[in-house]
Amino acid sequence: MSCPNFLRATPSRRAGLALFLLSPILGALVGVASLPAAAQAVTTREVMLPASGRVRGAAEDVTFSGQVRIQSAVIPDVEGKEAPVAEITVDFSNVSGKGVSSRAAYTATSSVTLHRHVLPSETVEVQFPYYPAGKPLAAQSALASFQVYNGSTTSKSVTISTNPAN
Amino acid sequence: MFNGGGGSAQGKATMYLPENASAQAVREATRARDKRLEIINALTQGHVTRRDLIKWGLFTTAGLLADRHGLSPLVSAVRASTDIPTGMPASPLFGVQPFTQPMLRLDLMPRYTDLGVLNPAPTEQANVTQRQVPPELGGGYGPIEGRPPGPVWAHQDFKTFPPKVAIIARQRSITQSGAANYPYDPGVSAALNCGVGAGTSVDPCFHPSMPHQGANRFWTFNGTLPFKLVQARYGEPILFRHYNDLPPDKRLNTGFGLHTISTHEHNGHHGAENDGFTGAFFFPGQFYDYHWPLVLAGFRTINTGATDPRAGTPTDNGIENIPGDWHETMSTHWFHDHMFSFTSQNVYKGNAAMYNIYSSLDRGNEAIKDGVNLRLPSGTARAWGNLDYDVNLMVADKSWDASGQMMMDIFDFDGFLADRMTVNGFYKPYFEVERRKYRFRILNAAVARFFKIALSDGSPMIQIANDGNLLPAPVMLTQLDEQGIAERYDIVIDFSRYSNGSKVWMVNLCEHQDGKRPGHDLTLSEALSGNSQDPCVGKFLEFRIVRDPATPDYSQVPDVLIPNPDLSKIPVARQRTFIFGDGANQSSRNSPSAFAGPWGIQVDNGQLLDADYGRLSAAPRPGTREIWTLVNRGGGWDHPIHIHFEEGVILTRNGSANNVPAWERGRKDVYRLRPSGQMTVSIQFRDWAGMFMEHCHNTTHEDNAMLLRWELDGGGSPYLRPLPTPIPTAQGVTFQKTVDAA
Repeated sequence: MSCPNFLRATPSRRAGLALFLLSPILGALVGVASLPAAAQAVTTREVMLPASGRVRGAAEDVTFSGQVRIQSAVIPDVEGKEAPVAEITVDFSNVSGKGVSSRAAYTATSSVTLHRHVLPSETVEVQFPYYPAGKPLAAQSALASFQVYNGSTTSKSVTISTNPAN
Repeated sequence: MFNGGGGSAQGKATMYLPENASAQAVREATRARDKRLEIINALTQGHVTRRDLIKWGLFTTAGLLADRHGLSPLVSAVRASTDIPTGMPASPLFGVQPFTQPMLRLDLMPRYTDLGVLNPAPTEQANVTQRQVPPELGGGYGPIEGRPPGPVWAHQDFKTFPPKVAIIARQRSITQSGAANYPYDPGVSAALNCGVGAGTSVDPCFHPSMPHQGANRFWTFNGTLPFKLVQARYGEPILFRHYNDLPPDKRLNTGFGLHTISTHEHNGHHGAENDGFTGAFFFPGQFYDYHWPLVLAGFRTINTGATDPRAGTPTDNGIENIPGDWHETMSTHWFHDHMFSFTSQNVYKGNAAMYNIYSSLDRGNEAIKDGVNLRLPSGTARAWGNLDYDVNLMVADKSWDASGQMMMDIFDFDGFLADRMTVNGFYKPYFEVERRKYRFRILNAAVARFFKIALSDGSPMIQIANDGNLLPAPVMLTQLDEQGIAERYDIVIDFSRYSNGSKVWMVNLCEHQDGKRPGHDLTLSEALSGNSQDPCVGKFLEFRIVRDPATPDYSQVPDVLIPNPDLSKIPVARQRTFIFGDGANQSSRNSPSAFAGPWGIQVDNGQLLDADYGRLSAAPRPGTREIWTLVNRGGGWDHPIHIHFEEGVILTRNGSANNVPAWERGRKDVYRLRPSGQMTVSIQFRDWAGMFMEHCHNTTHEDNAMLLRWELDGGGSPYLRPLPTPIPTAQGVTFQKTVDAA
């Protein structure tokens, strides 16, 4: 076995060899000591937030109402190497719409799960699909927005608006 | 939108230097990379071992690249202050703008119905005819086929399901003249492939204005780009003969990749001898015959009289019924290398292809109304397998050096992340579409990167399949879930909502800070802002809506696709728990079947162990059902866990069935655990036997010891439990006693 050239070249690197030889032992000790016993329990919050808003659609405006289910949890890294991550699931299955001119019913059945940095406060925006009842291929999208605090608690309501990307 | 808007590096060092990095930062990062490459060459060419590197202090025992000698791409250089960005130099673009080249469809591999093309003829047991072994591989003589010899590795039910189609693949260095020997075949007319027709010579490069890839930089099927596609149908067994034409001298790997290979059909329902077992690899100059019988699961016990047309294969005249359970019909597979400890390198290097399976339910013809055909977007010209409006997308991040040659850092044990998005092997291409519905079969073919895909206008997409299986019902989404490595998401996009001449883009919302897990799922506006530090966030595929459909769109997306099989009457024989984490021990012998790395798996109440494919960790009884609990031990990482051979149904996520989203309610073969997450999976074992695997499909994690072997006892001769472990050499396969820890 031969050492890579750039390691051979410098005497000071050789001087550090003894320390390097210890590193496996030290590394192993650190590794064993930091082993968690099992998957860490994570507390999940779940809230139902009232949602409402009016959306400019392709055929007509649609008003939405109902409740958005939001699950949130802040998941720490058991080894403390990574920043915690916020896991946020947004479920629109209890939201429905009504055509302003046609009075037709619109369905919004979708959910999304996000992993986000934990911030003191942020506005989370997610698009969600909606379509005339029974006509999923005519789906369009709207925008829902709400506040999240420290990756877990939320504002008291969800605002639904026209998807600006359309 | 984030307060403060856009970017989200959160003060962490970024993976890649920004385009405007200082000259000093680029020099230091280049120097570190060159030093690593020197080690990589020494390691992969066998001049040093990983044990040597640990002794020299370059690796920690956790397998991590030590923070010294300016080696680590993720640690500030010695002389650098903390505000100087660290990382690898960005892959140069040579003046290329995104979306200036067409996305070519995958290249169809020829199907031979005359099996006489196979010379020598395939055999039930491995063909051990001797050949001269090159001196680089030790010289002497060895078998022409690399499959382990003898009855244990004989093709199961070879006579019952004799091959009807042959496919011949040659794994080889990328060539500059691929079109001459292997003419490109997109399977559609040029009009449906951005004007590029069959027989076109495709340059071996990420973009026509970028340098050609040099010899041995890519190792692809047949040595050409784009990547390949195989079309198959149920009831039509395939003999996939895979020649290893890679260089016998393993030093010719250009710094990554190993020239021994094992081909995993992910996630085929066939005997273990055809599964691409990680320890059943073969050498340059050898071939391996894989027998893919293409049967429906349960064919020995369910619908044995083949009376239900939903269990069927599409023919020119209708449906040919076959035995088995139609609820287990599969559609979108892929196959890739599974070489022990080198899967990430070999797959990244090009050993990956997609594999569409057609059935009476999902036949690839949208017009046939027979009461069975689901009529998903595809086309009408052929009775089955139309690709006109059914498009495979292999999405992967790639990286290249200053001269444009593909590169990989094999020292990043968190998970290697590259910095340029490619689709089907091409840097940020465009694809022309008609104003109608299309099906896209999206494969995450990355090493460690997750994707989260949306359309740039937030328009809805319909997910119809997850992994190999159509969902019980379609799911309407504006953004797909984080797609883990090896997961396949089939979606339908209806382009009729757009006008001719308009454009819409696929956007990646998933930002990584490292390869351990997705770091931050951006909102659409954040991802489109251009502020992310992750160069793979944002638009990566442009759709150009170019015309009205040439023929009427007959396709549909039915409310019901394929319901799950009812397993409730099959008693649960056993429950097992698999915990995935880091800091594993290697308790096995010092064996070529064992590998030490930072990652590992704990089974039930045992230890967290490194990989040893000579250790048997679970042995379900054929014909039974088990509940497997998969646990991610940490919040600092995610693991997409792949269980070979049998698909499962997720019963719970984090303890509740309500936490299983609609797009995960079909059958799956890759299970994303999410940080600190866990899930229970119901799996039925039957039909075939032998040794299979379970592992993280972040292939960096897999290669660094997060892999185990499980085994299905055939229940009689010649299968004995546990089976002896193959130890391949170019001169022949020997066997060692298996450690029974099941």
